[in-house]
Order: sequence, then structure tokens, then C-alpha cells
Amino acid sequence: MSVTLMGPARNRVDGRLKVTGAAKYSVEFEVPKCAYGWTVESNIAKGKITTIDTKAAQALPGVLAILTHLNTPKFKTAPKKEGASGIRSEERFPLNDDDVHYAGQYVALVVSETIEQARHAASLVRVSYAPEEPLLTMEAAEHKAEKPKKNNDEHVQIKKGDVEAALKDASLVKIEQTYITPTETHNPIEMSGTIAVWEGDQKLTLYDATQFVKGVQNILANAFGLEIENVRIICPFVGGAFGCKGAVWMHVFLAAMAAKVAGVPVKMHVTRRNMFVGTGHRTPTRQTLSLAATRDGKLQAIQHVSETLTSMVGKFTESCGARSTGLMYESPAIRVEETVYPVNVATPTFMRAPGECPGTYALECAMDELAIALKMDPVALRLANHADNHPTKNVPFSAKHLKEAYQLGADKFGWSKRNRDPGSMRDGDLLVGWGMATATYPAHKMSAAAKVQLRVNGTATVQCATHDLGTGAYTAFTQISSEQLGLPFENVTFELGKSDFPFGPVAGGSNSTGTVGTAIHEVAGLLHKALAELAVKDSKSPLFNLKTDDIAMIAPGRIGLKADSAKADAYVDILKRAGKDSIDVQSERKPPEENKKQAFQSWGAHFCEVKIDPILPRVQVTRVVSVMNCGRVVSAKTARSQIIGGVVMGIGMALTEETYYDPPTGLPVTRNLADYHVPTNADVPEIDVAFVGEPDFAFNPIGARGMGEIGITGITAAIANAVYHATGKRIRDLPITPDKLI
Amino acid sequence: MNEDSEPLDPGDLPDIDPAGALDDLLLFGNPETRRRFLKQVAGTSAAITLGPALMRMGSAGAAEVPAPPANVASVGTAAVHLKINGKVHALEIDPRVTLLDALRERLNLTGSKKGCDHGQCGACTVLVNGRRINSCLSFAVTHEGDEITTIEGLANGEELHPVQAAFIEHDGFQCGYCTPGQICSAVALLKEGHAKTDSEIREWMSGNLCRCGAYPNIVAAIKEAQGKSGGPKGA
Amino acid sequence: MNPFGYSRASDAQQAVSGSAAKPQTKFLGGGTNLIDLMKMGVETPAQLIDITRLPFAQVEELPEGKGVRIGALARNSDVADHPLIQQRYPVLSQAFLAGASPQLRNMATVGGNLLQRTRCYYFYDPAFPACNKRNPGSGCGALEGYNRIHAILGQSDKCIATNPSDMNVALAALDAVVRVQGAKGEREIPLADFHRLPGNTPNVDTNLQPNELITAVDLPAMPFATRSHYLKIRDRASYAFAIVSVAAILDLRPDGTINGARIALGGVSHKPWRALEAEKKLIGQKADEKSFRIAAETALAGAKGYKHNAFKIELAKRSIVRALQTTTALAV
Repeated sequence: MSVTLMGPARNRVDGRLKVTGAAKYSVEFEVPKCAYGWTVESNIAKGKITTIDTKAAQALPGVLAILTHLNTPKFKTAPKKEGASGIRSEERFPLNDDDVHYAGQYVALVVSETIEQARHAASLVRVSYAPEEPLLTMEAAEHKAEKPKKNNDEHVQIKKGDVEAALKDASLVKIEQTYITPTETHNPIEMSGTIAVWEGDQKLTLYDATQFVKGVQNILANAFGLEIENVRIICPFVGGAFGCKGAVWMHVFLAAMAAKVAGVPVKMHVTRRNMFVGTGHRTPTRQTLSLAATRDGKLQAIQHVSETLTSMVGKFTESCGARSTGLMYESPAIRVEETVYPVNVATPTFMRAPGECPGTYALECAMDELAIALKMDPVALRLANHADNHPTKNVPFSAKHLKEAYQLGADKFGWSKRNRDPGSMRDGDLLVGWGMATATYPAHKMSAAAKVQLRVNGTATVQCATHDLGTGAYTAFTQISSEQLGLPFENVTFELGKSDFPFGPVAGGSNSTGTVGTAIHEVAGLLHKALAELAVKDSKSPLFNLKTDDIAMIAPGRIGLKADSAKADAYVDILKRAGKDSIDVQSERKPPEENKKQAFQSWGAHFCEVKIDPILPRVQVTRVVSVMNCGRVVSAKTARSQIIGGVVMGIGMALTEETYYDPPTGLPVTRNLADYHVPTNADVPEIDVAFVGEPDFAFNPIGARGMGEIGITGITAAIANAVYHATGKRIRDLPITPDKLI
Repeated sequence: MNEDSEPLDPGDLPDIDPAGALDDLLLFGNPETRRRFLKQVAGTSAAITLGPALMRMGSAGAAEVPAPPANVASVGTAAVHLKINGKVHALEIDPRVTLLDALRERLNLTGSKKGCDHGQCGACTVLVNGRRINSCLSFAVTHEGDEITTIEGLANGEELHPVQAAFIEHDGFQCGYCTPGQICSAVALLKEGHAKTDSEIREWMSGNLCRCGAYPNIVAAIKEAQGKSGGPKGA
Repeated sequence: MNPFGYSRASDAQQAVSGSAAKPQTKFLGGGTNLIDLMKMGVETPAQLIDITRLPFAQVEELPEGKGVRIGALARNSDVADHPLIQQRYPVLSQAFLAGASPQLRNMATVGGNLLQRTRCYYFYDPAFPACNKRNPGSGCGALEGYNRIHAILGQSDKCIATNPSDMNVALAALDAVVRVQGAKGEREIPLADFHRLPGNTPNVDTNLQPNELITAVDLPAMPFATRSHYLKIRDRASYAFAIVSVAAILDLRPDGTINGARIALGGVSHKPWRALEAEKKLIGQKADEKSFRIAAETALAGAKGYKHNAFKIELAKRSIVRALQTTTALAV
């Protein structure tokens, strides 16, 4: 079978459910007599709870229970079982002590018959505190600063060559600048939520909005001391996540605990306000980039020093430089340093391209500044420093086609017509700016298993406990299943989002298509083998008495002799003759194969245009061309949408988004969707997406490196660079709001 | 508020907390309420499908609807007849219940989404008397006599509304959570006649946030639906 | 949200007397601001009187060419679309369309818009301990806090909140008059006197008396208002409150000099800010950038910025100049 770069452009298989309102998201499952949980939050950032007065609240009709640290049973922390997984962003359980670690921390939970009663009762709970001086900034937390060695097994402090020497070399052209990104909040339109249902005290079902059903299952089993089989997690649809539904957050434990002690199912729908505290955010960053290059533009040193925040109750770190600057350009000297400051702010978490997104912003702005200092075209500078090999691991990149991406992007955009001088291009009275940047994101590989049932009517169902966050997973996995099983697309159903299914990893790190695709590839092989075993024992089969090892799928719906495809048999005929209605096979979860001879990374180039009124300077992005190199594009339509989505979120990051914290209280100020400005339809132009390259079969049998996150990398820099080109003003702290340009 | 006036027959119901053990856990809820609620849970596992509130609720055909009272004096609950997608639902509800929560939590019409609950995202958009509104900022009791159309009421049986079909064709969504609101909004927009240019569509669709960033595809879908429905006024 | 009694008024008198009969009564119109604030626990009415069925939704000409009357319950979108408004008072139509979203404009009423409360973060979220508007005497969290969206004109050290309405800015420029009905009958309140500056009582937004019901807004005849424009500067392209906005109306003589001007600013003060001194400076001047700049400087002469909003002073000046330029260039 020949596999092309681009897979078919199918409509989403779940499209009809989504456009008719029939798709059921987590808090929408109908659970009889379900009560509602409503939280009470701390309005101090650090201290101890001294008293909680619940009298007025408990007297209200409808109130079933009020949980506080004084009455909530302790959560268990059973040891992690072998191979068990799951992510906890906070290393604590809710309501288990009187400590307050950040403003907005849940300090009580009201359970009531209706939302209206619960919300009102929660407003009547009075909490008193003994406040302490919180640490809220990098400066305040200086004495607690840490330099982590690793982040998820990846070294984050990188040193190659003599950076100091190059940065002191007077013959080189140098740039040193500091770039600031603010706190950003994911804000998927579906707020996180959970319905917890107990059957007796040993069986728990959660309808939970999550990127990781198996992780939630494992962590909840541990927290409540349950057998893992007795915990079921159900999540067929996720209304967007972008990282904030990857970990098990406090509301999930609370819902399960509340349901246990109140003896009724409990639904908790996190409020939008609490989405700014209780489900993570992207930490603010301060990044200093130092570049030194020869006059013809060859980089001699790249130094990326980043400082970020984390919380007092979790260790999440946003590694800005390691997987962007650490591998983007060829240079004899590279240093990446990372410092993390723990503060009394809620725990940050993964947000679309954690690390790479702010990291590429800083690096790619600095590259633009270097291009200007060198009087070089920004694309030419990048081409001059293209890395064929991984700059610190010294192995070649697999299926890297970044140069083609630059070329195609520049052609589509019309980059050659750019006048390099800032402020030189106009559209009537408006300033026009053109900017570009490189995108990059690692190809991650995890492990998964899948199960298939093939039926005698030629239809099949494939299952894996994976997730569709809007990524198009249902569609892509149906396509991969169809191709790998050798069945028509219409005959295959792919099911996900249930912990009952074989293991699927967290839908994060753009790993799902490759990882679950590989599991589908494996289970398809097992199915073909199982069919072969039936056929070779069947005297009526053309494959009778042949060796199963010599048999494989030779055409859609048929297995046959690899050496002689004339000897073949149809799946349905094999099943019919064997008197079977169906056949079931399941693959095993295995650690992913490691290939250390090559490096696997996705690449891309963004080109964008902005228009700015010089007098009333609000930036409008008017045109974007994004060319991506991500290995195989399994599902053409949904893949394009993924890249568009990353670009749109990048527009928000560049121009409008900021979670600002009140200096004295540490409470988020821009804590709703009126004050935290995600882009509207009117903020977004036509976005031209293209793909280059070839399937990356060295990476996995599907050839796909994933594309959920790469779209947001680099785009903020492309916009900031375009703003400079339009105005001559270099804004080094995001977002680029009108006040910064006036 | 919202007390059920019909006493349950305790004889029919197992008492699942006979010794008041839950009270001993120092769970501060109203013990009477909880016991009553727990009994109901135990006794009604199959029959109850209309959500948690202890309210009298039923559905009635249009002909059976009494004339709306001109002045509803209310103590704890108020009566309202909600006509949703052509079907009338008679509710006796807490006046604090928003139209959105009535749809989602009382009537199991979960197609209308809660994305912010404060009129800041548009996911809850429904059509009331043909006009798009944010159902999260409207009390259900105020909708006596209104014609309410939700996403569940747009398709004609199996045949999708042209806007729904165009959203699928142009991949006008990813996660799908803002989608019902986007589609209701787009249906209203075509009727309003403000979809003459791309930039007009963008501006008039800006009350519906899409965090997945499907905007360019949404614009394409609306343009196609507009063409199929015979111009701006024909939706 | 606390429990409240709900009733539906069948006429204005019943609404007013119903309100007087019970303390802490609020009238419920479009609900877009009130319900939002009730959910936040900022508004806690004991009783809501639903006035949406009262017959105050019409837009109609006043007799003898005296102008146009807009019913208090007319929805923002209907007023924006109304030919009388579009043709005679385009600045008002534009202001409506610059505000909120199509859905919210379909709900929000003119009366409710007049009473729209500030978007100050410290007012909106009771988690913040200090807000003199929400809790008199508790202080102002914004003074030393995050004050990017706050006032630069007419504020006090008790409150630096702004009025968030776009409509109000246009109404201020149009010399609108608010008609209200109370227990003692009807009265008229000029828009300039309707909203208050914060002073020492920022908890009182307007001069509407308890139990008074807004029934209409009158727009006096202003033939030259056909030459008018609403300019709104915000942080994103749509669906955002103004950082600064300007309603501008110019009465130009045949020779192009200015016979009269109306300038009102939004996003800068506790009330829609009418720039009367700036208007005076324009009379008799040429309609050009130089005189517009003088007017802008005059309008912002008393402005005071804070840590995060000082940029508004220059932005407001530029916006005034631009709004007047756009207004001048209109073909009317």
C-alpha cells in the first residue's frame, strides 16, 4: 500500500452528534436524583483557616451536606500500582487541612438539591483566616528559587560549547533581550466538571471531563482505596481542554467525596471564575535570549535563560528553552537555563505546547531582532542556521522538511514583496507589518492498547481508552482503523472515552494519533493473524494448511499469502465458514520502541500580516500562512483545523490574553470571559494552512508526529515581529495591547 | 423554597440512613432535607428522569395550556409553561432558575451549553420568538408564552438544518461545545440579514466564542448556508 | 443568588406600587446585567418585578417635531435598527451596535442600559474585600490595584470605576432626557443629571429615586445629529467594553466652520462624560485637526491617570480628534 502525505478529507464522524446537540459532555449525563456541589473559595493567598461558620447555610432548604476540613474524611494515598498512571497537579487533597496555599483555593463545598440552592448556601458560609504574608512574585520568592535538572525525564539545563566566549567576542553581532509573557488561562468553552456516582461504598463511576480517563481511574482508585476495576470513568466528548483537563484537579476528588458522604450522586460543574484558579494556567515567563552571530548570519552562540513560577503545592514547570532553543538552530555553543520560583498562586499546568509556546515566542523574536541587526532577511537568517542534525544530540532529524516549509510559506504569502524597513508598508492610512517565525514541537510517543471486534457482516468496532478533545480523534482513528483493518471507512466504528477500554495515554503532547494509531496497527495485525489461524485449519479455505506467518492482509477485506496473492480468503468468508458471528482480539500495551539513531520533531513556518492604525494602535491580524511538517496528515480536514486552532490561540496570546493578579490579595482580576479576552470571530482572519514532507515511518507505523500543539508555537513571535515591522516598535511583553503601542 | 408538598409514603421506601449515621459525620446539611432526599433516591431509581429538583413537572400538549396569568405572585416557586421546540412543558420552579438551567437540568435538553453562565461566551444561545438570546442571563419564569427553539429543534427529523449541514461540511467546530450556540446564532444571523460580507459575518458572530479557533470555518459554513437558503433573508 | 419573590407587573403603576410595598425590590427588564450581578452575589434583591410585558417598547416620533421617544423596554437591537434612529441619530445606532453582542443586544433594554453598573473587577467579585461601591466604607481596591480599565476624569479617592455603557455616551451627546414614573407621578431627568460622579457616595450610581421606574428616553430634535459618529477603542475587535469611546456630533456651517459640537466620552469616568468646554472651543473654528486637537486637550485638561491607565489620557485625546475628523468627513 502506498501511503501519501495527506490522508482523506473526511467530515467528522461525530459531526452530526455535535451539530444537533446530541453529543453528551460530562456533566450532561442523566443521573437520577443527582445533587449539586458548589464550592467556597479562599480570598487570601496564604494562611490558616481559623473558623468556618456554616450555620446560615445549613439551615437553608435543600442543603444536603457541607464539607469542610473539619468533617471531610481523609483521602487515602495507597501506593501507586505497577504501570499505573495519572497526573496530579497538586500534591495534596482538598479539604484535608486548614492550610491555605493560594487565593481561590476551595475551603468548603456545599451539596444541595439544586444549583440555585447550592450557590446561595455557599455564599452564606463564613470563613475566617489567620492570614500570612504570601509570596506572589519572582522577586519575593527569590530565596526559594530552584533550577530543576529534568522535566519529564528530559534534561532542561543544557550546555554545549563555550557560550561565554562567543558572547564576549567583539567581532560578532549580538542581541540580548528579555521577553515577558503573562499568565494565560486555557478557557476551553466547556468548563471542567464531574458527576460522581457510587454504587455501595466500593464502586465509583465518574462522568468526568478529562484528557486521561485511565489516569483519573487510577488516581481515584488510590484516593478512595478502591479496586481499579471498580472505578469507571466515562468521557465520550471533551469540550476543549488544551491541557487543563490532563491532571486530576481538586473538584474531581471533591465530587467523589461529596457523593460518598452525602449518599447521593453529586454533580460539580466548575464555574468559569474557578477555571482561572482550580484547573491550571500557563505560568508567566521571563526569558532572556542572547544571540551571537557572524556578520554573514551564522549563529555562534544561543543562550536562553528562562524564569517561571510554580505553586507551593505542585511541581509543574514550564520548560521554555529545552525543547525549542535546545534544538532549533545549528550553533557551536548553546546554553539553556531554567529557574523556577514557587509562589502562593494556584498550580500552573500544561497549556498547549507547554514550554515550546513561550520558548519559541522569545527565541523567534530574538532571531527577528538579530536579522534586523544583521540587515538580513528573517527567512534567510533561519535558512543559514538550519539544523539538519539535532544540535545537542548529534543525530539526524527524521523526515525534516523545514526548508520546504519556509519556501512554500514565503511563496504563498508573497514574502518576496516585503519591504524590510519598519513602517514602510501601508494600506491607506493603516500601517502594514509582515512577520514570520519558525514553529516546532517534539514528536512524543507513549504506549496504548486497542481492541477490535470484527463481525461476520464485515463491520468492526475498535476501542481504546483515548480521547477526542475536538482534535478529530474519532475521525482520525476511524480512518486509521479502516486502513489498518482493511475495511471500508463506513464499516468501522471507533469508540473512546471509557476506562473500560484498553489503555490509552493522556491526550497531551500531541501524542495520541501516533500512539493510538500504533496500537490500532498492532491490533489489526493480531486480527489478521487470528483470521489466518482460522483459515489454515479450514479445509475449504484457499489458505488451508499454510503457515500463518506467511499470511497477511493483501487487499482490503482479504488476507492471503504474502508471496502469492492469488491464494487469499475474505474475512467474512472465513468467519462464516467457521460459524462465528464475530471475532475479538486485543493488543497488549508495550513500552514504545526507542530509536536513538534519529531525532523526531515537527516543524513549521508561520507568515503573518498585521494592520495597525498608527494613531489608535490596536493590532489586527489580517492574514496568516502556516506551513507545517508533521509527518503524515492522517485526517486532512481535522488536521487543518488543529493548525488553525493553534494559530487562533496564538493570536490571543500575542494580542489580548492576560490573567492579571491583584497585587495585594493574589486573586485573579481578569477572571471571566469579559475581562480575559480570548479572540472573537472578528479577531481572526482567513488562515491558509499547508503541509509539507512525507510520512515519518521511522517514528511509528502510522507515520504521524501529531499536530495538536505545533500550530501555537512561533505564531506569537510572527505577530510580534509583524508589529515591529509595521511600527518600528519592539514590544517584548505580551499581550500587545493598544496602550503599549500608543 | 422548592419544597415538595406531596409527602412521600415512608412505607414504600427503604430508609438508607436509619440511624442517622450521616449526621454523625458532622455533615452540616439540613438533616430533614437530606433524609427526605435520600429516601426519594432510594425509592425512585427508575422513574425519575427530570433532574433533581423537588418540583412538580409534566408535559402538556399546546391545547391544554392554561392562559398565562397576568400577575404571578410568587412565594417560593412560580409556575411557567415553556414552549420548547413546539412542545409545552409545565414547570413549577424556583424563580432563580435560568432558562439555560431549566433546559439542561430540568428538561434534559443539554444541547444548549453552559460555557460561562454570565453572558460572556454565547454557548447558551437559543432562539426566543425567533431572536437569539443568551439563555444563561434570563430567568425561565419570564418566558411564559414564548416560542423557544434550541439546537435540538433545528433539524427537520433526519434532515439537518442547512446551517447544521454546512458546519459539518466546513468543519466549523472542533470540540463541539460552543457549536449549538454558534449554530443558533448563525440561524438568527441569516434571518437578521447581517451576513452580507465576511467581515460582517465575523462581527455579527462575535458573541459566540470558540476557543478551538474554528472561526474561519464557521464563516465559510455560514456563507455556504446562506447560499443554500437563498440569500440573507431566506434562512 | 438569594431567593427572591417574583411577580409580573401588568402596568406601570402596579410596578411602582409593588416596588414601594417591599424593600429591596428591583425591576427586571432584559436582565443581562442584573442577573449577572445576582449570580455574583453583588445584587441581592428581595423581590423582582418583571416589567418586560409593560407597553414601553416602542420607538416613536414626538409631536410637533420635538424629537423621538424611545420606550424604556425597547431592546438595544431594535433601537439600533430603527429607521428613526439610524437616520436622525446615527451616533446612537452605532453606539448600540458597538456594545456587547447581538444576543445581549436582543435582550438588553434601554432602561436597563441606563442603569448598567460598572465593570470594575473589585466591584464585580465579592472575593475582593475593598469596594466602596459594593460595600461603603470598605475602601477602593482599584486605586492601588489593577486599574487599567478605570477612570481618568471626575473620579474620587473613594472610587475610580467607570460607567461601561456605550449607549449612555451617545445619549449624553444627544442631550437625552430620561422619563421616570414614581409614586408621585412622572418626572424628567436630563441625562447629564441622571448619572452621578462617585464623590463620597460611589454606592449611588444615579439620581433615580427608590421605586422610580424608567418609562422612556426622549431624544430632542437635533437636525445636525445626522452628522455624528461613535468611535470605540477596545482590546479586541468585538465583544469587549470600551477602553475609551467618543460620541461626536458636529453642526457645520456651509463654509465648513463649526456652528456647534457635542462630544461625550465613554470608558473614562463614573458617568458618560460630556466635554462641554471642548465643545465651546470648537464654535466658530475650522473643522480641522488643529482645532480638534485643541478641543481634545481641553477635554482632558483635568484628567488624572493611575498606574495602569495613564495611557487613556493620550488615547482619549487621539480618539476625540479621530471621531471629529470622521464626523467632519461624513457625507450627510
